[in-house]
Amino acid sequence: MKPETHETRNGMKPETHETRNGMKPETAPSEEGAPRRPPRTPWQGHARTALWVILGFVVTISVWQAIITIRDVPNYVVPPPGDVWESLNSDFDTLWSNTKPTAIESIGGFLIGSGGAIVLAIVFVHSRILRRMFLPIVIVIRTIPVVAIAPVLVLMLGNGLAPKIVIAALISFFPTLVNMVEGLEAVDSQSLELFRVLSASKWEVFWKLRIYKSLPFLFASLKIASTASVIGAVVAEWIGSDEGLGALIILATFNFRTSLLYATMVFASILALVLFAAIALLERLIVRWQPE
Amino acid sequence: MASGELTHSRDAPAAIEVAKATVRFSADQGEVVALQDLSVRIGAGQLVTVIGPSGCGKSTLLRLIADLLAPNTGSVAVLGAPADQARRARRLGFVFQDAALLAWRTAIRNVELPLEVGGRTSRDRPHRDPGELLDLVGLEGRHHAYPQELSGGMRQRVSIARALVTQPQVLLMDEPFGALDAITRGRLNVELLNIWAKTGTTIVFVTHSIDEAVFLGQRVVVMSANPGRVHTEIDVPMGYPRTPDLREDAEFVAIAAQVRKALETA
Repeated sequence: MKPETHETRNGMKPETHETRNGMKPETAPSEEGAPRRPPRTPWQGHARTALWVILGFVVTISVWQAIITIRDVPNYVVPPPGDVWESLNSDFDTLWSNTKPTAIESIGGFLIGSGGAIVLAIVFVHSRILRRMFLPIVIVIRTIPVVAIAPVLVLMLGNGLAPKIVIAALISFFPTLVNMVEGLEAVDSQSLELFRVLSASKWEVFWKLRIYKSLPFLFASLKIASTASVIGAVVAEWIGSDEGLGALIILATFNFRTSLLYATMVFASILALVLFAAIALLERLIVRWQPE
Repeated sequence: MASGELTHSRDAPAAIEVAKATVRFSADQGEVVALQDLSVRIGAGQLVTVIGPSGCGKSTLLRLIADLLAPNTGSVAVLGAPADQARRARRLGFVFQDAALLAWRTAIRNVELPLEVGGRTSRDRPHRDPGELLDLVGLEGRHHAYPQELSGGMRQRVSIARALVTQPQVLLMDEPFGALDAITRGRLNVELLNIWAKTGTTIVFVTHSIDEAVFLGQRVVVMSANPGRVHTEIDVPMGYPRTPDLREDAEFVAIAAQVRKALETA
């Protein structure tokens, strides 16, 4: 798909909006008032938001440090923020080399899981019979906790990347499937009537209507799935792995290297945030209109 | 109620001929008869307005003509052929109540939609230039605006342009201005008459407003509910072009009163 450039979404000055086509605003029929524009946040607003976020982190870390100091919590139970920072620096190579397999598992699982969910959603929307047959099975599988499935898959697929990718895929699969089905069906009757008056084929209704209607739903679920896939990969690594952030968490816990444990959590969190941000960016590039 | 003398000939070849059409819907409490033995004939190039109480089947009638619904009994002929043929030949344009624009397409891309669907030959068939049509409906300079950047009236203008792009011989309008403020509505009424004068399209215009029905139509079809049928048809003999001042005209006021009385007994 090729959305037309639509500058007003991306923080451009509002004035460009009217002058884009070289027309003055007065050419718009005055009786119909000013066009409605999506609310925009100027850069100052972004800076201010960032400032509050930083302040939030500073306050949280200070409280963390204060509690440890006041209650005299031992370092192996909760490390002070300084120790975690220390570990982030000194153990960087370990952390980084263990982030890579987890990233591969998360991204691989996310792509396979979401991709499969999108395909299955399209099948379900087109075939009520298949949907009636298999949706209950999907829901049953969904109710099994990941931690319960993980050992089964490790037994089946061994200790390599495969079971981790499968678990990450499973965990990405369900939110995407549910939302995509909902999105593909979120088509109002007037739009369907419009396409019928135009004698559009089912194929055209799908590619020119349903897909677009589903995109906002799809991205909402992809954002959930992107962070969930990291959880899936980490949990899978707990069960049996000698590399990856999950394995590092187990190792650090058993060795009472609590600072390293916390540093690993920071890396896992950053990985999830990076995936989330990538999806959010993709959404901005693709969904340039304002969904109703 | 008498229809009075016909000033606009019904001898014109029929663009739309609905004969004894009955439409039933199944509902929770058994069957609902939306239309009962409804017959109406609309000549080529005419502008006919349809008015009636809620639930009288005005929209159902339009959907019957557009082949969005098939009658249980009776027949619908459009341009001398069954309604589905007219639809497939893209002789019909439909303007929906809430514009039904695609939010991800700019105004001009929305107007182009009919040329992209309905078979490979869509673009090769006779059609009007989407840009010119947008200018015709008063959207010069806004061709590349997204629907959410446009006001309700502007969106409805885009949807009219979209309906006209296939050069339809029949334009069906389902309360297109119902959600607009009175000033915008009045202005769009005048513009619709201009478009009608320029295109010569047959127009069936469903409305809730007596004023709008009389101002636009050569004939007002008054429907009654339970079951939906034609209550009476009232001719509006005033010529065109009509200007907003017409509403103060004694003849206009008298016909509007006639329609109102018909609605009271509908």
